[in-house]
Amino acid sequence: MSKFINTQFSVSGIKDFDVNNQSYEKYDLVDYQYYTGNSIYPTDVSGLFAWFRTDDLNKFDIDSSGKISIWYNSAPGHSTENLYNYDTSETKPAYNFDENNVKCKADADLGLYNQLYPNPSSPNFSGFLTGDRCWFVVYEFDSLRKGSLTTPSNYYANYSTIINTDNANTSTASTGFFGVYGNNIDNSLNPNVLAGSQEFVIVANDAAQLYPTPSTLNSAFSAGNLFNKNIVSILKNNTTTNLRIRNNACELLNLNTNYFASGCASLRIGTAGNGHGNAGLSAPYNYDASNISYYEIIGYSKMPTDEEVLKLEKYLFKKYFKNDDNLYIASDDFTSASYAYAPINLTGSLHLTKNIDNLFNKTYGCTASFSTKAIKANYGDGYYTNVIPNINNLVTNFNLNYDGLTDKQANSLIGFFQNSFEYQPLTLTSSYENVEMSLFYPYKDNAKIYFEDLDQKCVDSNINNIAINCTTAYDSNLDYKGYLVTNEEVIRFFDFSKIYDYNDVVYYKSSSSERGYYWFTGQNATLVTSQQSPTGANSLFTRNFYFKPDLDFSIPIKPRFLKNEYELTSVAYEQDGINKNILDLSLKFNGRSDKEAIAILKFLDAHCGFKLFEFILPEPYNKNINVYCPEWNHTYKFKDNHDISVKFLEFKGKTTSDVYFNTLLSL
Amino acid sequence: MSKYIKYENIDFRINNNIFYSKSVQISLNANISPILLSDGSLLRYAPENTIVGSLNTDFYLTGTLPSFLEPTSSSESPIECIFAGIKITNCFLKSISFDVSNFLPIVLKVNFDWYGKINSTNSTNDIRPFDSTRNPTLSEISHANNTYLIDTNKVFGFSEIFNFSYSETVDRVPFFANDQITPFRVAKTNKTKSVSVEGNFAKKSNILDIQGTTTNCELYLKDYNSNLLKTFNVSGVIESRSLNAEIDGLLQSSLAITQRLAPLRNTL
Repeated sequence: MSKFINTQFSVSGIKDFDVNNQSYEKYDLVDYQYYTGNSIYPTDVSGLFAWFRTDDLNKFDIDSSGKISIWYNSAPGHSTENLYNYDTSETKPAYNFDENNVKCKADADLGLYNQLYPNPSSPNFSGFLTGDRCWFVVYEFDSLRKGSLTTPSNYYANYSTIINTDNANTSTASTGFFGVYGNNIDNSLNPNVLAGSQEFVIVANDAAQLYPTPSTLNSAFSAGNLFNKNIVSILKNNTTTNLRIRNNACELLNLNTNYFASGCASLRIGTAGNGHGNAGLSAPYNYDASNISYYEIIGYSKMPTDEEVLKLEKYLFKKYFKNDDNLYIASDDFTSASYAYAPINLTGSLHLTKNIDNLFNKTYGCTASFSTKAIKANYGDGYYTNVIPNINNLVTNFNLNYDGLTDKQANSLIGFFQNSFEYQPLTLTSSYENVEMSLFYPYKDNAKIYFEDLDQKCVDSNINNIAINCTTAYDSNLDYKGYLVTNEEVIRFFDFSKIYDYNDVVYYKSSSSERGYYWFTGQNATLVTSQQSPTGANSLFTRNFYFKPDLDFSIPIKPRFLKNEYELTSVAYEQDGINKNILDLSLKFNGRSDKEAIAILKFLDAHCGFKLFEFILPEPYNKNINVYCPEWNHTYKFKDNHDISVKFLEFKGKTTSDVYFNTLLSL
Repeated sequence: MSKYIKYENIDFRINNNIFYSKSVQISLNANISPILLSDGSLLRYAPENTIVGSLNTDFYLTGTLPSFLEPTSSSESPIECIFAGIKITNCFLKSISFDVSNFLPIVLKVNFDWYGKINSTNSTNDIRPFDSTRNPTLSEISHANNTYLIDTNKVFGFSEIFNFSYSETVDRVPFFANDQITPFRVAKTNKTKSVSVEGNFAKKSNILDIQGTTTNCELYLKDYNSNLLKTFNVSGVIESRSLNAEIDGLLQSSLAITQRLAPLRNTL
């Protein structure tokens, strides 16, 4: 364990990730580092001849359509040996601003492909035809297709290129192609391939075979997950003919072979141009069937030392696998026997996780608190307006209960909590990375939250209760689906063919101001007529707050008046304009069912802390008033039992000019 | 005319072990509270907590006491009980106790909490008959004949012990994951063992130590034929003493010993 990691935590017992048959128990905290030594900058290793990176836009020549025409080589002394696309715009890759990579699209069915390749007049990197060579590639597949070409009785997967170093545009069979064979999630040609991993292929004359069967060499399986970022290292000692393939620090292949030997001095990337499609061999299977994104490609005209390999891979890992190192939790008992057990790899991800939803039970008593940032501007005479300072005016705090934890579980959860503050920002302008996890009913199950504080309480020996206070900082209530109550059951469109129950919520689509959420107040199991629809003359739906509070309510009345006390005289009471009785009331809705609770919470969620609605004061008032709800709290007390408390502020002088942003976004 | 069933020789099993049970009581309690609305109406009865059942049984021990009937053990696992066509899979042991008096068989009393479902719609449909292996002979049931208690520190001060009783209890605390009504963990807290002893006159001086006199006693539970069924050990303090004398009665002294178990924490 690094000294830095150790000093950042209040808990002890953090284990280092080790590949030498190290045993781990469920809930162990495991410090994963790609390589514990230092990284090295690519130019600090001799023999650099190709370095394609995405650090800034100056590394690209982008045409008027926004597509990449040239990806410049950053290797010193090789500035003329770049990757080009002189073809139509449709075949050029695009720079992906969101993910900072070069994205090559492909769709074999549509005949769509993107690629980059060397200058046709000089397709090989200088001085690189005969010596040792190695490539380090960081890439990511989008969605490998399982293969669309089938015969009545057979299934054939697609090949997708990662890099092709053949001398381009020849009909010579390839010896320097490195790609992936199909999508083994849907169907694997080789039963030994772990579902979800890639089946790397180094193809030679497979095109000559009508339906290739993976040979030993063609069955180099990936360590990484199919659709995650990958670091692939291709290390070729051209003197001894030794070829090593590494994927995410896991060595997959080590044998003597002629692949990637002399002649493999070019570089084609993208979803075509692997030399097979134009070999005139009519291979009955697709090549290049997935989008692929490149982050960085480094090539050396030498065989680096093992330590240099580790350092270069760590340079790439630190750059592109942010927050994928440091602390993980063991999700079961297991023994780590190779780098396949690293959490960034498929096997390891089955045993080491940062997903605490599957490891720790949130228990009853979880609470949610909402309040608006609206600024109240008073105009006198009881009139005011709410100024919303930004688009995300609601502040939300969740208190997540984890009761009944053993000491080991508590140790693990506290470590995970503290580790979340060590996350790095994913981009220069963003906050440090959040934690993605589920909240509790009826809130989002894919919330991006930030932990704020943790309260650990020891109940007895080996019994701990932990409460984590957290917030969802970047959810917006501008989405028509709502802010945090977005379950499918409360965002459905109104439909005449559906049967509705009391407290059902529907979204009524309309081009007029009648659009929006409605709450069903009719009997259970009602098939509504047009008259009973949200806009019908005898509608069974409402947009008013129709929920009845608990019996033990109290409503304080504090009329506004002026009290002038003059020296040596008695007190003078004077009127203070009109609208003297502005109610400020708190109400409780305890013991409510799941159905009613989600309806109430959806109502409050949809009114964003400042939108007005009508509410009939209970007896003995029994008057319909306009209010808004700037604060509310919710406690998930037990199954089908929720406590909700709200604060309503009365609003006088509602005008028809109130306009809200309620654009329907159809997805 | 009323219909009734007389349960005779009904098979009773705990974790599929047959017990020579004298009685079994099963009950449950729904934790609900009424919700009244501002208009005066009753909305519903809201569940405040899960339905908690209790299962109490008395039985003669006819063999070694199984480890799953030790309340203060570290195991928190559920226990399965089957009785009169009813199967309850999530029983959690709370206590075991028994009294030892001269010439009497020893009846062990066991209490469980249980959660979740019981698998019976009509318990008369699945009544299993008495299992003949349950009670080989009456001489093999737990009995006071050879059962005895050793005061290893010799602090009791009785010249003769009339009777004694043993009790081992824990509190069970259920923890529920959100959306669930059966607990994912039923933890054990307040693990205690206690022994109370009645004997003749006390022969002990200096019995007013306010912190309690440390004592250690071992209790050997045996059947009528002196086969050892279980050894209990209590290392605690004397919590109380009494001396009773009355006309035409015996001079009788009693004491109670309690031990609070404190298992060490060992996270890593």
